[in-house]
Amino acid sequence: MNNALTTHVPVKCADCGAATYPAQGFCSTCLSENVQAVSFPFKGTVKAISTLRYSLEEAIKPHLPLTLAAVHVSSGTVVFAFVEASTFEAGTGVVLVEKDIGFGPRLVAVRDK
Amino acid sequence: MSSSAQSIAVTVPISQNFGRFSSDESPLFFARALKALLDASGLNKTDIDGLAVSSFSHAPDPAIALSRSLGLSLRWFGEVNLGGASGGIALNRAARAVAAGDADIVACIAADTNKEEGFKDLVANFSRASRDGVYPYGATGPTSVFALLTQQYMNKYDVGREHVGALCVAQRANAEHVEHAMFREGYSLDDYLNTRMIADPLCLLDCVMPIAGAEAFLVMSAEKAKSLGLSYAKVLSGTEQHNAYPDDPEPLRGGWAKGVDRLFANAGVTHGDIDVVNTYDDYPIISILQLEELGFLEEGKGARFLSDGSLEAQILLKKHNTSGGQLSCGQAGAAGGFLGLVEAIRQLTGQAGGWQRENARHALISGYGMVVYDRCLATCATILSAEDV
Repeated sequence: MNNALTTHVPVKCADCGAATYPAQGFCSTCLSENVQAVSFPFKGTVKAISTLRYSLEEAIKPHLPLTLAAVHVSSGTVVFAFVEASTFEAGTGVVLVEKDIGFGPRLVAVRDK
Repeated sequence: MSSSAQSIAVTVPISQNFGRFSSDESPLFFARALKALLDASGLNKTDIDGLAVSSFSHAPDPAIALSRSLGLSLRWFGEVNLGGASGGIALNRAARAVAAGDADIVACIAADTNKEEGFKDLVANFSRASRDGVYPYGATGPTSVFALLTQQYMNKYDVGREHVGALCVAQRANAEHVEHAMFREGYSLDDYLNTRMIADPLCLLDCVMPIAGAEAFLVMSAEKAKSLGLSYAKVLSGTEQHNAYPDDPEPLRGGWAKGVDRLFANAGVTHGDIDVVNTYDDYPIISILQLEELGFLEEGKGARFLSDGSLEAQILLKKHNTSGGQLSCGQAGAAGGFLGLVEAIRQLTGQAGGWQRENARHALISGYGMVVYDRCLATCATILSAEDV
């Protein structure tokens, strides 16, 4: 399991402004290599949530169930992030932070106050 | 593709199920599938001059190693590693090769083994994006991705599990007499609704069972098939799209709609002519999306329509995934991408035994493959006809 959070953040293109996720060394839109990791916290909108009751990884099984969200960050860019409350629904505004929820650093979506 | 220049035949449908798990390597399954193609067709290995292969378990071999291990000397080779879109796209490639004279007889074979830890190994490193952005988020394999996709459809179109479940119930009913199906026992919508949840809104019955197995067919000119005395289906048209809608934040469009007018126009048929519709059913919502984009159902209304109990809904469900699909037959890796196409060939050539649809003249088969991140990137659709149409 890849626990390097640097790959878990979007990169933003300094030339055209497009975001790409997971991180890669070039922009998917204009192919510029002038990309930088987005800094925490960054905003998004929840598209859907799911309660996960099953895992292939022994390290994750003790933490089940987990609530996962698809979060729309910017044009065409969606991240998967854990949420701490299953009260989030489609359209909820969130901020994405870095947090270790028991099996390594992950993106976690918290309510945007 | 247009069928005008030369009529292309697909023939000798082979489906092999080697069980839930296998410790064998996939080349053995390629060998068994090739042997079955030869036995059923009466051809010799030396007659096969083209080979298209699909598998997730070639490693450490490159795909071309199969030419050596199977003892085939070829003048055309295609590696089509497009998962659930492998069948239709292998056929697109093979049909062009035959039409261009690059090969006379192409064996298209998909096979995968399923070792005890094989599924975990496959999904943990399926792609960079999956390794970095999906697997660390619960390690469910593709199920979390498709749970969230299904939930987005449900949110957008006000649909519940009771609507999506109707398709699952119908597919299992279709599998009742299918010899190679993994699961043939029917269940009710109540059973479905009370089944253990895996990743909401998906329950166990929404998820396909990974198995070991193979699917295969032959592609050649119709003239050649006729001279060999083989029952065949004709290839009328085929389309494919890749990364069709990269800017969509919701992964609810696959790309079939982009090609559907061309698909029907090149085939010279309409929706009313289609007797068998086999969609790729890794999860039921994906079948519903295919039926919608391909024009059998209205956008966003498919799940509700299929669950309303009307005669029209029952007719469509009876001709949809006639072998019960992967939800009943299991998924042998990339061979899952061949399943619907092989079943359509079986139906159009009258070889479907106890589950044969009467007077099956035209079939539409669609595929969806490679969930590199939040959606599958490859989609395809094919229309076939019976040989005497």
